[in-house]
Amino acid sequence: MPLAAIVSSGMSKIGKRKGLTSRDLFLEAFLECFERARNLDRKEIGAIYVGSQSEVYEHQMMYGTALAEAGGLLPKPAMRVEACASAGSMALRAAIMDVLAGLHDVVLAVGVEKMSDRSVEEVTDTLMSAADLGFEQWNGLTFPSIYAMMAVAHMKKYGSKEEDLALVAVKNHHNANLNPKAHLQREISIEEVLNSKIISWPLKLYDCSPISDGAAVAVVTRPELAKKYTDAPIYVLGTGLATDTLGLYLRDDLAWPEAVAISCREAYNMAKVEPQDVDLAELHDAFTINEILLCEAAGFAERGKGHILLRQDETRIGGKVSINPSGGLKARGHPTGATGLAQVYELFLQLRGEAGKRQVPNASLGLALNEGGSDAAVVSHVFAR
Amino acid sequence: MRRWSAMSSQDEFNVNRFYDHLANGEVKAVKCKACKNFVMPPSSVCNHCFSKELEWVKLNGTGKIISFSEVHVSSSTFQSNTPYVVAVVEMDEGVRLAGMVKNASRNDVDVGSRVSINIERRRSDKWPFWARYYFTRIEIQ
Repeated sequence: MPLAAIVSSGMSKIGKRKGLTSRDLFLEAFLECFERARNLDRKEIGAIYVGSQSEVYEHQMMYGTALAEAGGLLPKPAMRVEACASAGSMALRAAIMDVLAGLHDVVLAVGVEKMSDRSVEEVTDTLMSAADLGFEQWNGLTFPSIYAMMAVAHMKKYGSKEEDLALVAVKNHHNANLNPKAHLQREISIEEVLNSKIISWPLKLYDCSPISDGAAVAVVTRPELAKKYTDAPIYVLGTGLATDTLGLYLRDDLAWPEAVAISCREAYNMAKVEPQDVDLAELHDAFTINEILLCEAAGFAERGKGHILLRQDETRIGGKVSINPSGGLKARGHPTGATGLAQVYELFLQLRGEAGKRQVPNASLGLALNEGGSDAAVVSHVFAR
Repeated sequence: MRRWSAMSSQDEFNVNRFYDHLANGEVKAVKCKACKNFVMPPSSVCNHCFSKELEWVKLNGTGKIISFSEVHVSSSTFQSNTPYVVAVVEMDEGVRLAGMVKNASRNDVDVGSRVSINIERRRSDKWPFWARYYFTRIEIQ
């Protein structure tokens, strides 16, 4: 028996959405979601869970209330959940838990972020609040530098190269170029990545996800109610959530995200599947190195061999496992709080065969892997059609 | 009034006291007397064995780089320092710290490089009003 069903989903265009607010982006996603669902009355939505990274960008808290208001859903219960960039999939997990607990039959999960009105320095500083204050924030570390240190650790231990990181960016830009809602719809070359400006060596501009605005939503129901709203629901077979030290510096092995392995294992066991059963995965490639690390910890490659799988081109659309067919955070874009549900939106389309030019052939089992901080809060979900 | 005696150890072992020691010119870390593990970030209860029998241990101030990066884009606080090297450092006693490696570029350091810790005792005039530390390379003789 699946845990829950997703009967509809919607996502705004991701990008620098000048002049718009979180409410506008949410409504764009919400209306698409509504048009797609059959027989869904707004009044049936029993509760709303909103993933949002930070109140700093818009100087706005209370996103639960604000979006319930915007969607005409007052006075329904609404709450914000937060774990930096994993807020979106935490909202989904909260919605699944709500349905499983029998509190409500139909629940809306939302992810949203409006980042681009702020300067790069302000965004860098705001994101840095997801790191340890006393020993990382205070001493000049940045999030790119934290992931750069994971990359250096991986390179030293396993022989991966800057060119391998570039392969992630090239692949994900290629996929995003097939995605009309992606932030960066442009092919890039390995040389362009390698010659781009250094952000935090060895990570360069094209190794980093862009600062994006966007929103995504999903409607979660009890599995037995799903067919009322759609002929083609997708089912949640497993959910996993694991945590690790807030600061990267305390990890025994900087090149191994242990919480990812634990979170995925929990979701796989619940779903009664193994990594080799997964056809496609949306992985949290906030920085290119993380796609390689997540590939290993999710079980698609052996430990220390994530970059080999990539070199063999087995993670392209239609490869052994299609990774980030949407373009990933790297090129679809990374509106932090929205990302977890943007991943779900992609898997919803893919598992229904509605992903257009980037459709993964025979997509029947998908993994969404979303994390916050330095792989310090990791949410994984296994979906099947 | 057991509750208040518990409060006194809460006050003795936390990150603010780490930076108080630093402002006094000393690098100290919290170590659990029961299980001998370091408690990082500093805290009033051992997160390994849950003991409250803790002590501040003075570090000898040297260690080695576990990993590093060179920051070119920083938050506004550190913009005047860019580009600068940051590193995760394992001190000789086994406790980990992270911070800048000053007077070095990425070509001057590597995984395993020996570094020593330096203290800027003057407290910041901005919240949370802490002193700062940074690392420098130990030149091979």
